[in-house]
Order: sequence, then structure tokens, then C-alpha cells
Amino acid sequence: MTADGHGHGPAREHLGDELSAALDYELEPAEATRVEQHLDGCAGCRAELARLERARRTIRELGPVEAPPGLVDGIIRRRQGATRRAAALVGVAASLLVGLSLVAVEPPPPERPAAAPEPTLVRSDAGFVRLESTPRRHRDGDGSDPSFADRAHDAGQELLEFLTG
Amino acid sequence: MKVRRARLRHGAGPSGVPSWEEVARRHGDFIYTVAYRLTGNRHDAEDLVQEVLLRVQRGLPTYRPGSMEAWLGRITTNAFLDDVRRRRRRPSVALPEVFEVVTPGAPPADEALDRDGLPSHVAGALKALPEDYRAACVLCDVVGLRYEEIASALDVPVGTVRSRIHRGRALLRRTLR
Repeated sequence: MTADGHGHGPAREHLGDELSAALDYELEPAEATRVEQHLDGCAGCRAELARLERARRTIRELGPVEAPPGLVDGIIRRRQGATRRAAALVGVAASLLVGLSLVAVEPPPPERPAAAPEPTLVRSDAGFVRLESTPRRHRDGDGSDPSFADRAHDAGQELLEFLTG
Repeated sequence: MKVRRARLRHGAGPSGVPSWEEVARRHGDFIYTVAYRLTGNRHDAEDLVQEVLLRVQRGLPTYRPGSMEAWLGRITTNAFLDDVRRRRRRPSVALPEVFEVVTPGAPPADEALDRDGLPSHVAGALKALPEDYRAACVLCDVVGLRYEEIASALDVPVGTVRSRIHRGRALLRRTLR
């Protein structure tokens, strides 16, 4: 690249990727000056510049394309479904953890030595995760409120119904 | 020769960080356009849009308000090149290459459906470019990025960007003649 100062450089000094960079206004000022000087005296490079400009314009004129109808909506719907299911699963896990920790921390009431049954996650044959527990012994007709574990269990069941239903 | 950059614009610029769904709805056509220019066919473009929107969802928390389209163009191109590299690593997926060898120059069927209203050989010529050249040309002439932005997006030196864009155009003008 030593063609400085000469409008009529020898053939081996013809311009290469400077031409594309010139079209994109990506030349440093000094380089731009050199390229201009060369172009002034070289018809071959001017013709090449014109051809490159046509190729560049061709890509630009391809213009925007509309996405097929339903493509973006479908992706959004699938993502929302996945996000909702994940959030609900986290809810189930959280309610189970809270319920179980309360059962573990709370000392059993003296009149009812049996601790609340621990609900457990069971994978059924159908592939659904279900909450299972032994029959609840708190609702034995003494009018007392159901324990927190029972309520957590119920909430978990509701969420699971929402998930699987 | 006066050539000012004509950037594609879809919708108003966001004032803050938009939600993922807003990005998907507002810029879906833009992402699809870039994906279609890169892949050259509808099926791959649709897959690419899906992958891009996943990446957008993951990356949105770190997005700083600026040029959304530059950001999306960058993600789309990188997702495309990642896919190209993955396919190259698995030579068992050789069907597309075999297909192209068997039918040289035949325009893909879906180009007839192209709503550009432009000769399908233009899109075909773009598709015939090596992926690295195509990616640089698309980021420059479809997304409207500066060379420095392209260099940062592709993680290559600016000189490499300049050379890829030039070679891409040089090949295109030969194909289009």
C-alpha cells in the first residue's frame, strides 16, 4: 500500500476492500484521501466500485419480510404456558415445604399425640405427580380447625389440579 | 456517490427496558427478516426466531436501553452462526449439502412465496455466500451496524469484518451478473 501521491498507480496497487469500506464511510480520513486519489486516475477501480455498490444496494433493497402469521404468537403462548407451569410447580413445592416444616417444628398437641401425616409426592402410572397421604386424623369431628399442614395439603392439591387439568 | 445508512425501523424506540413479550411482538418481524436473510428459507428462519426469542428472554435482564435492533441483530446472527457450527461438528446431518449438490442453482421452493417482490435469484445469491461473509453483510446492510459494532458482535477484528463484507459483496456481484 505505497501508492500515495500517485493518481496513476501501477496495476498491482489496485484497491481491494478499501472500496467496500469507502461505500460504508468506514475509511480513516488519510485512507479516504488515498482512495480518492487512486480512483481519480483508475477507471478499473471506479468500475469495480460501481459493481460493489450495486451488490450492496441489492442486499439493502431486499427490505423487511413479514413473519408468518401466528409464528410470534405461538412462541409467546408456548413460553407463557411453560412459565406458568414452572411457577405453579414452585408454588406447590413451597407450600409443601412450609407445611412440612410446620409439622416438624410444632410439637404435637398433648391431646392428639399422632402427628399430621406427611404428604408425599408420588409419581403415578400416568406420569402425573400426585400428593398422597394417609387419611387425615385431625378432622375427627371435634370442631377444631384443620391444621396448617392440612391447609397446605389442600392448596397443593388445588395447584396440582390447575397444573394437570 | 451518496449512500446514507438506511436502517430498518419497526415501531418506536422503547423508553426503558421492555418486557419480553413486548420485544417479541414489536420486533418479531425484524428478527424474522434478519433470520430469513441469514438462513435463506422459511423453515430455518422460523426455528431461528424461536431460538432468538429464548435468548432474548434470558438476556433481557442485562439489556441496557439503546438500539434494540442492533442488540437483536447481534443475537440473531450469533444464534445462526452457533447453529452452523453445530451442524458442521455433526457431519451425519449431511442432507442439506447433498441436496444442494444434486440441484445446483435451483431456487428453493419457498422463495416463490417471498413477499419482497424482488427476483428470487437475489436471495439465492445471498444464500450462496459462505456463512461468515453472509453474517457480516447482513449485519452491515440489513441490520445497519457500523464495522466496529459488527466486530464486537462477531468477536473478530475490524479488519476481518471489512474483508468479509468486501468478499461477500464481490461474490454477490459476480453471482448477480
